[in-house]
Amino acid sequence: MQASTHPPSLGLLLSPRLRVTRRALGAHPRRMVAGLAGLVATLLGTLALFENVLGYFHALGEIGPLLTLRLLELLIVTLAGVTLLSSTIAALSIFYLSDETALLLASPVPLRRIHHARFVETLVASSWMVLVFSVPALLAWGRVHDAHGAFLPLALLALVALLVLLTATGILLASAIVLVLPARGARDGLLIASALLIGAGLLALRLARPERLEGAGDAGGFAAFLLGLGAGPSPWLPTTWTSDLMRALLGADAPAVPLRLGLLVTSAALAVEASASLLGRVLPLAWSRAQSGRGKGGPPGRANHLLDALLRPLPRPLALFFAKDLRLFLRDPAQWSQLLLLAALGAIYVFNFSALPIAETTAVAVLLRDLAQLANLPLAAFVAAALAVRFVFTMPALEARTFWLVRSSPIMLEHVWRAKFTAGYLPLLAVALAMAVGTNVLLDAPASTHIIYGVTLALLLAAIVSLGLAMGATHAPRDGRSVAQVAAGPAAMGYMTASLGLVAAVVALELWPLTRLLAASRAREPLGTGAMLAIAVCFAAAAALCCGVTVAARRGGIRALARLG
Amino acid sequence: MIEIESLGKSFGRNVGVDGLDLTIPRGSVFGFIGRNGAGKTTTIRLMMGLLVPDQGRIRLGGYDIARQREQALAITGYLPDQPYLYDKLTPDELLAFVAGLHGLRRRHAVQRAAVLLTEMALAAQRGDLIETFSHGMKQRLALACALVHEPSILVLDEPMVGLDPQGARDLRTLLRRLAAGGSTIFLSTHSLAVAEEICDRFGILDQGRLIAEGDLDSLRARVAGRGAGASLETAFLEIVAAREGEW
Repeated sequence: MQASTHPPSLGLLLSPRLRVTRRALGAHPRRMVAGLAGLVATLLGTLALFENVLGYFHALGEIGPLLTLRLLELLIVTLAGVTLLSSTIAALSIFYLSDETALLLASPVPLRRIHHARFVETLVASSWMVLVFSVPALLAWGRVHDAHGAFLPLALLALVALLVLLTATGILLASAIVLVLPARGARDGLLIASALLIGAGLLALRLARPERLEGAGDAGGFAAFLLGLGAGPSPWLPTTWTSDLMRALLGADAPAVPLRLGLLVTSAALAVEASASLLGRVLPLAWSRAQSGRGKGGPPGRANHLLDALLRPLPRPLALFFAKDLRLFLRDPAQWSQLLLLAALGAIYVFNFSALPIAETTAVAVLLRDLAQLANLPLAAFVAAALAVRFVFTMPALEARTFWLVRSSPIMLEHVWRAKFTAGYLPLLAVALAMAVGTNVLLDAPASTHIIYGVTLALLLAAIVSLGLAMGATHAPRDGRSVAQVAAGPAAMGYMTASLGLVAAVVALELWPLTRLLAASRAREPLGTGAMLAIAVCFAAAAALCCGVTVAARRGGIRALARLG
Repeated sequence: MIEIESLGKSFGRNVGVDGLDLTIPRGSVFGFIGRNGAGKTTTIRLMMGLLVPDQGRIRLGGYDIARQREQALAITGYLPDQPYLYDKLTPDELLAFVAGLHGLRRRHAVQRAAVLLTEMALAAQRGDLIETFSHGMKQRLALACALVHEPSILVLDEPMVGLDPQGARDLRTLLRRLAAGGSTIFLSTHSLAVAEEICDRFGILDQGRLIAEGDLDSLRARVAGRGAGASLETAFLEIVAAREGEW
C-alpha cells in the first residue's frame, strides 16, 4: 500500500492532547462546573480588587494617571518575566523530555510541523493563566481610564502577541541550553534558578520596607517608591512596545496604535519563524543530545561514607530509610528547590518581627509586641502545616510505586512508619521552633512563653505529621504524578484543612491561658490557684487533643501503608 | 516448598482467584500460565502478602504468610510485573537498601551487590542513577533486588519482559542453577517457549481457577489426538479452548 504523501495536519498532531483534556473535563462534569464557577468568582474578585486599587491611585490628582500607567508597565514586565521562565521550562519538558516528541520524531512528520504542534502546547502550558488573569486586570485599567471600547480586544491582542514572542524566545533558549547541557541538568538548573529568582525578588521587595510609605502619608512618597522599582524601560524590549501600545490605547492616542501593534505582531511572527527555522534544522540533534545525559549518583566515596557513619548510631531501619530518603531528596531539585523560596519567606517572617517597634515603651508598642507574640504560635504552626503538605503528605506518594520493595521484605510497617515520621517531624519541628522561639526572643518574651510554645509545637507537629502520613498513604496516587501535583490535589487540600482545624483547636484552647500568663507577666502579679488550675486544664486538653490525633493517625497510617504495596 | 490451600479472592463481583490448591516442592521451577486477567498476578500478590485473601492459606517454606509474614518474606525473593525502582538512587545504593530491609550486614550487602551486579551485567553502571537505565536494565536490577538476600523461594511475575536475548538466556541459566541448588521458583509468564524450557511443572489458571496442573507430559496427555509432540503453547491453547467450550 502506498503511504500518503500529505503530512498530518496540525489539528491531528494536537488531537490526542485535546481528546485527553476533553475526556478529563467530561469525566467529572460537576467538578468542572464547580471549577468554572470558582474561576469566574476569582476573576470577578480580581476585577474588583484592581478597580479599587487603580481607582484609588487614579484619584490622586495629576500624578494619579501616571502612577496607574507605571503600575501597568510593572505588571507587563512581571508577567513577561514569569512567562519567559515558564515557557523555557515548559519547552524543555514538551520538546525534549516528552515521550510524545519521540513518537513524532519517529514518524514521517516534517520537523516544522512537529515544531508548530509542540509550540502550541508550550504556548498554552506557559501562558494560559497569564492571559486569563490579565482579562480582569486590563478591563479594570480600561474602566479606570475610561478607555475606548476597543481597548480590551486590542490590549489582549497585544498581550497574545507578546506571549507568542516570549514563548518562541523560551523555545530558542531551551534548545540552546539542551545543545550545551543534557535536558535533565538543564531542567534542574532552571528549577533552581527560578526558585532563587522568586526568592530573591520577594526578599528585595520586602527589604525595600514598603511600610515606610504609611508614614510618608502622601502620594509623592508612593510615587518615588513605585518609580524606584526597576530600571527605566528600554526601547528595544517587547515589554516596552506593549506598554507603549497600551498607554496609547488608554490615552486615546489612536494614530500611534497601528504602528506599535504592527511592530509587536510582526516581531512575534518573526520569532515564531526563527524558532521554526532553527528547530527545523536542529531538533533531531537537540533531541539526541537531550537523551544522552547520563546522571551520576553521589560520589561513592566520601559523601556516602560520611552519611553512613553519621547514621550508624540510629536503629537500622531508621538509618536505612533516612539515608535513602535524603539521597532521593537531595538528587531531585524538583523536591528541594522550593526550600530556597521557603528560606526567603522564613527570612521575611523574621524580618517582619524585627521591623516592629521593639525598643519603644509606649502602650501601643507594648500591645503590638504582645499581639505579635500571641500570633507567633498560630503563624509558626500554619507555616509548618503548609510545609507538611509539601514534604510530609507527599512522602507516601513518592514511595507508592516502589513500595513493593518494602512490602516484600520482612520489615515491620511500624518501623517504616517510624522512619517516615522521624524524617518528617524533626526538620519541621526545627523550622517551627526557629520561627516561633527565635522571634519570641526578638520580642523579649518571658521564658515561660518559650517553654509553652516549644512543648505546644512539639505535640502539635507530631499530630500534623502523623495525620499527613496517614492521609498521604490513604490517598497516594500510583500513576507517577509529580510531587507538586500530589501536593496540589484535593486530598492535599483536605489534609491542609484538617491540619489548620487542628491548629485552630489547639490555639483556641491555649489562647486564654497565654493571654492570662502574658498579662500577669506584664503586671508582675502572681496568678491565683484557681487561675493556675484552669490554665493547666486548658494546656492538658490541648496536649490530649494532639496526642489523640497522633495515635489515631498512626494507626490509620500503618493500615494505609499496608494497602500501599 | 510453596503450599497454597483453597485460596480465594474476589474484587466486588469479579472473582480474582477461586479455590486454588497448589503444592510446589523444593528445588523445582513452577510455570504459572494463563490468559490476561486469569488471576496470575492476583495469586502472586496474595502469596507475597500484598493482598489479603478472602479464604485459604499460603505457606512459604513452611511459614504462613498471614501469621508469620516476616519469616516467610525473609526466605522469599519477589519480582513484580512492573518493578518500579527509585530513579535517583544508584544500583549500589538500591541493593544496599534492599539488603538492609532483609537484615543483611553492611559488609555482606556490599559483597552481594558486587556479585549480583556482575551477574546481571550491570557492574559498569553501578554508579549511574537508575533513571538513566533502559527497561531491560531496570528489570535485571529488580531481579538482583529479589536475589540479594539469597532466598530459598523466588516468586517472579513476568521476569522475561524487556530482556534482550542474552539477558533472557542468562536468566534461564540462572533460574535452572538456583533450582539445582534447592531454590523453589514460582514463575508467571506469557513466554511459553521459555517456560517449556526451564519449568518442571505447570499450572494453567483461567478465570481464577486452576484448570490444569502437572508436568509437560501430563498436559500433553490432555490434548486430544495431538500426543507426545505437542508444545506447551499448543497444550495451553487447547486446554483453555476446551474449558471455554465447557462454559
